Order: sequence, then structure tokens, then C-alpha cells
Amino acid sequence: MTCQEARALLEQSSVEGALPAELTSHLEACAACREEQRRSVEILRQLHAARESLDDLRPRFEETSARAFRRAMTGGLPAVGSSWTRVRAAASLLIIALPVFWFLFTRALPPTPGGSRPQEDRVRKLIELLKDPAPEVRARAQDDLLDVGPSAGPVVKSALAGTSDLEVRSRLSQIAAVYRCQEVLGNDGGRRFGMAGGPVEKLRRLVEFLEGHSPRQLKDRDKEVLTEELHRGATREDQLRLIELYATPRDKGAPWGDEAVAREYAWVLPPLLGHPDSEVVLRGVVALARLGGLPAIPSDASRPALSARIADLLDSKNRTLRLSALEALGRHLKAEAEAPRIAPILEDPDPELRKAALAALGRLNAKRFSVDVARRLKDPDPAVRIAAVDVLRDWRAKEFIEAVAALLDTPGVEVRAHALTALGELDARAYAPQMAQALSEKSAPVELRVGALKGLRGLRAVEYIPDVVAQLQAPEGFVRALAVDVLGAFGARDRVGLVEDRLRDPDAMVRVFSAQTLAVLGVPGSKTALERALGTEQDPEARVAILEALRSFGK
Amino acid sequence: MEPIRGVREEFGDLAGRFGAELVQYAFTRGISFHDAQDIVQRTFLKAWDVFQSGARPENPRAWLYRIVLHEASNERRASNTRRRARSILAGRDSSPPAEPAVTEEFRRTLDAVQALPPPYSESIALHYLQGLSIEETAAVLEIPSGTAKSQIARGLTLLRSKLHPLQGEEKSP
Repeated sequence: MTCQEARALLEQSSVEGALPAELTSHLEACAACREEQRRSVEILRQLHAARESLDDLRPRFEETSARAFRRAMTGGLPAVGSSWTRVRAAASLLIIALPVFWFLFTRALPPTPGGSRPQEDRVRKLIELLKDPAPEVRARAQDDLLDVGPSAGPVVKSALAGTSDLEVRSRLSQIAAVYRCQEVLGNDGGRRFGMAGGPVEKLRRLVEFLEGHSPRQLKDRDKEVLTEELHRGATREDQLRLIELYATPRDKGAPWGDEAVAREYAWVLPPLLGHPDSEVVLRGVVALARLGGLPAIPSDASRPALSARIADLLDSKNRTLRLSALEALGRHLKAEAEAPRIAPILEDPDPELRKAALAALGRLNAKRFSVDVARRLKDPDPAVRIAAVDVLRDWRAKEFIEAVAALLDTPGVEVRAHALTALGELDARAYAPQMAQALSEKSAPVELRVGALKGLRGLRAVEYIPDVVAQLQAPEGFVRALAVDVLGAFGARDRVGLVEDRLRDPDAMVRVFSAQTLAVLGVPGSKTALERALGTEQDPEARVAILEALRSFGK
Repeated sequence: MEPIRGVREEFGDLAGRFGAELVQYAFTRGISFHDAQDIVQRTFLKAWDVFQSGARPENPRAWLYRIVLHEASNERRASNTRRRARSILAGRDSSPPAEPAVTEEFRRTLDAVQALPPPYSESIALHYLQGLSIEETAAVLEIPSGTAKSQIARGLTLLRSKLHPLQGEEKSP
């Protein structure tokens, strides 16, 4: 055994534990490899010791985990009681500390004549020190500038405009940002929220600040202050603007960072749900839903009240608000109790609203309004008819089979296609011949063929396998893929050869469906076809599908 | 629809079972205690979303680890921003949890593991520091067990030259 082989074995055995016999004898003979083994053992000892140290820290990990869990499940909303206690304590401390601090600060200044000049001169000197060759001096100067506070802002800004040194610019712009942050969040004078101006002005400046900075720069205390500010009479426009900021990820043009960051800060929204303006409430709900923060709202007590307030907006004259309210009630709040207020909108003159009302009732599973929904099968707008068909299909409302079937004689291709699919899902076997006919007509539009294939799949109408097989030659890839899928759903093991042939289809999607269908059919002979296909397949998704299919065959 | 209270309890059990080791994992990946809490909080939020939708991961432990792994790598990417943020808010931070006192050897070992190239570093941390088996490590990293084993072996070799270099042996980066 060479040393190289021994070290490879040593590497392997360090994970597996046991030393192979041939390695043991080599180690006895070779001092260099023995040294290598000693180092290996030492590393394992160190890792073991590290593990023990981590075990010692276990209570800290548990405590941190519990805190993270609490915050996650409450949307990160700070506890108001503790916030107040801390703010009061901080205020008291500041009242005591401020005169002392001011005394020390003024004594530290050089005795230069000229009113506010001493501080200005000191600031300029500190800015000069930002160019010092010693990094610790530069860092200290930055800290000292931060201690001076926002009153040094004008000097810092003018220095920033006058320097081209990259490091100095970077430090100065950081300092300027701190000053703005301190101004906005009130850390500059010992008063509770510090800065001059009313809450509206504060919020406006806050929003401007947020637009220019990552929310990661905010800490718990800032969150508490912000939440408080949102409660205190900010203008409605500013609140809506802030909600948009939180709810819009960067790809939609907001400067807010990615969605994950926005989600982290969804804590600011729940307080808005108690806002007197229902539109603010609605936007808050939609934004929270988008950020995944809705679980923070208790489902038992708060949601019905919230839903009722949003349902008030269904009577609004603003169409966008009404559409948004329908979506919030149906999708986000699952407000079953509000279904009676949604149902009358099925008669609204606006087809978009009728469609949205159908979708909301469908999501709420409000089957007691199925007659009203079925009435919309005769709606003049085809999109509304389609929405009604889809709702009845999802509800498995077999009592409306005839009404749905009547749509097969109407002119709209898409409506007919949805009707065919729905009839399949409603188990209306009497209409299987019409589905097969839609497949056999050479001039049948693609939508109709897709609807018919789905309908036959719903019926599991295996007697129409030949019609489905014919669609394996359809010019459209997605129709061929659907036909393959239907054969799988039928369990058509005797057509497995045709599915195997589709592993060579020019369309990768068809090849993916074929591999999946072969796994479903589970005919042992397909394994060879799959292995052969794997040898030539280039498309990554198709390769994954083939590998998964092979795995299902026990490879 | 599943009653929300039942789901919450189920999720609470899961968080209680694995939460501490997830914080520990974030910590071993070089994340401070304070940020580890944020990471695990985000992990819980994501996991809760999934739970609410009714889906249940096949291997919840590996799944949670993967979320932490992803969040920790995002965290490291954002570390420059955070450092700036910290300096921006210097002196005003409410009370970040104090970092625990650890021995010099522990810190050195942890630093060395973190400094390994990512696949080796992750495998070593999961297997030796988190105490996951080879199979569990492979499940978290979504790699075959054999690959996990060879990554661990290679990682140990790299760690050896980093922590106990032979004379003349180049320290790995």
C-alpha cells in the first residue's frame, strides 16, 4: 500500500470510524502516515469538544428559539406593555442623564470664542481625522461624529459634497444617514420622540427615510416607535403609502428590498386593522395576506369583525375597492358569514364584479347560493358564464348538470370547453359522446379538444381510449401531453407502448408527462424504454422525470 | 379545512422539537445570537405558511434545516448592509442578546469550520456539530449519502491542514 492510498483510506475511515486491517499495518510501518492519523484524531477531538460546548449553550438556544417562535406567531408585533415600560424607563433615564451629559460635552469642547463655533470647529476637526492614516483613529472619529448628533448635519453634508475620497465619503454618508434616522425616530433631544413637527410631518419624513433605506436597519425599538406613530393621527394618504411600501416587493418598483425582508416587517400592519377608515383596513389585510402575516390575526374574534368592516366596502362607489374587498373576503379572510352580502353582487351591472363575486362565493363554498350562481350560466358575458361553470364544477353541484350542458349549444368556444370539463367532473356520463365528438372533429378548436380530454378524464370513460390516443398526434404539444396524462388516469396499460413512444416526442413537456405516466402505469417493460431515454435526454426537467419514474420501478 | 388551533398546536410541537437546534445551527454557521433569532423567526414564518396550506413535509427536520441554511446564506450576503445598519443605529440598539462566552479552542474550531468551502463546511457542521447522521446530513443538503460522506471526509482533511498544518504545508484559504 502506498502512502497516497493509505491517506485516502485514512480520510474515509475518519468518517466511518473503523480502520481497515491493511491500513493498520501500513501505519505501523510509516511514521509520516502515523502523524497524519494523529492529526485526524486531534481534529475529531476538537469537533467533539465543540459539540460539547454547544450542548452547554443549549438553554440559550432554547430561549432564543422560543422568542423567535413567539415573534413569528404574533407577526413580530412588539408587546405594548413592555414597550411602554421601556420607553418610560428610557425617558426617565434621559431626563437624569441629559444635564450630566451636556455638562461633560461642553467641558470637552475647546474654549473657542464665537457662539456655535466650538461645535462646528470640533466637527470639522473630526471630519479631518476621517482621513487619518491610522484606521483606529478614523473609526474613533466616526464614532465621535455620531455622538455629536444631527446638529452636525449641515457641516457633515457640506464636507460630503466637497470630498472625493471614497472612504471618507462612505463614512460621511453613513453618519448623515444616522443623523436622519435620529431626527426621524427622535433620539436627539431627550424628548420622547424628539424631533419637531407633528405626527403627520414625522410620518412623512419617516416614509421618506424608509424609501431610501433597507428595513434591516430598523431595530426593535424603532419598530415600536413606528407602530406608535402609525397609531397617532398620521394622514390617511401617508398610511396608505406606507402600507404600499411594506406590501410591494422590489420587482414591482418599490425600494423595499425583497419579499422576505418585507415579510419580516409585516409587524407594522396589524395595528392598522383597527383603523377607522375601512379602506386602510382593506389595504392592510391585502398587504398582510401578501406578506403571509394574516396568521397573526386571531381567527376566532378579530376576523369576523374585520370581515364585516371590509364587507362595508362592497357598497362603495369605487369599483377597484369593491373588487379588492371581494378578493379579501373570499381569498384572504375566508369570510363565510359575509356570503349573503356578496351574493347580491351577482346581479351587478359590471361583469368584472359579477365574476369576482362568483369567485368569492366559490372560495367560501357558499353552496346555499348555488341557484344564484347557476343563474349566471345565462349571463350575457362569457367570462361570467365560465366563472359560474367553474364554481359549480368545484362544488360538484350535480343538480345543475342540465344547465351546464345547455352551454354546449352556445357559441363561445371557451365556455363550451369549460362546460365539457365541468360535465366530466360532475360525472355526467351522458355527455361522453359529445366529448368524444369534440375530439374527433378535425376542425375542432384546440380549447374544445382540451376541455373534452379533461371531461373524459373526469368521467374515466375508458371506452373512448381510441379518441384519446388519436390526440397523441395533435399538432399542439400540450394537447399531446394531456392525452398522455389521460391515458395514465385511465390506467391504460395496454397502450403503454404508445406512451413509451412519446419519450421521443420533440416537445420536452410531452416527454415529462410520458415519464410520469409510465410510472403511474407501472408496466415493468417500460423500465428499458426509460433507461434508453435517459441515455439521450438533454432536457433537465425531462431527465428528472425519467429518473423519478425509474426510481418508482425500484432502481 | 383543518381547525387553525390544531394546526397551531402541531406547528408549536414541531418548533419546540427542532427550534433550539435550528438556532444552534445558525450560530455554528457564523451568525450572531441576535441574527440567529431573526433567521429562525423567518424560518418559522415560512414553515407556518406551508403548514397552514395543509402541506406536510416528508422529513420536517431536514426541511427546517434547509430553510435555515437558505436564510443563513441570505444573511451572510446581506451582512455588509447589516454591518452598516448596526453602525447607523450604534448606541440606540435596544438590547441585542449578549453573545455567549466561549472558549478560545471552540471559537477557533468554529471559525475553521465556517472558513471551509461551502459544501464541506455545511456537511461538517451538520454531521459533527449538529450531530446529524450521514443520512440526515444528506437529506438536509439534498445529496446522496455517498456524496455527503465524501464531503465530510474531504472537509476533515481540509480542516486538518487548517488547524494543524504540517511544517511547510500550505494553509487552506
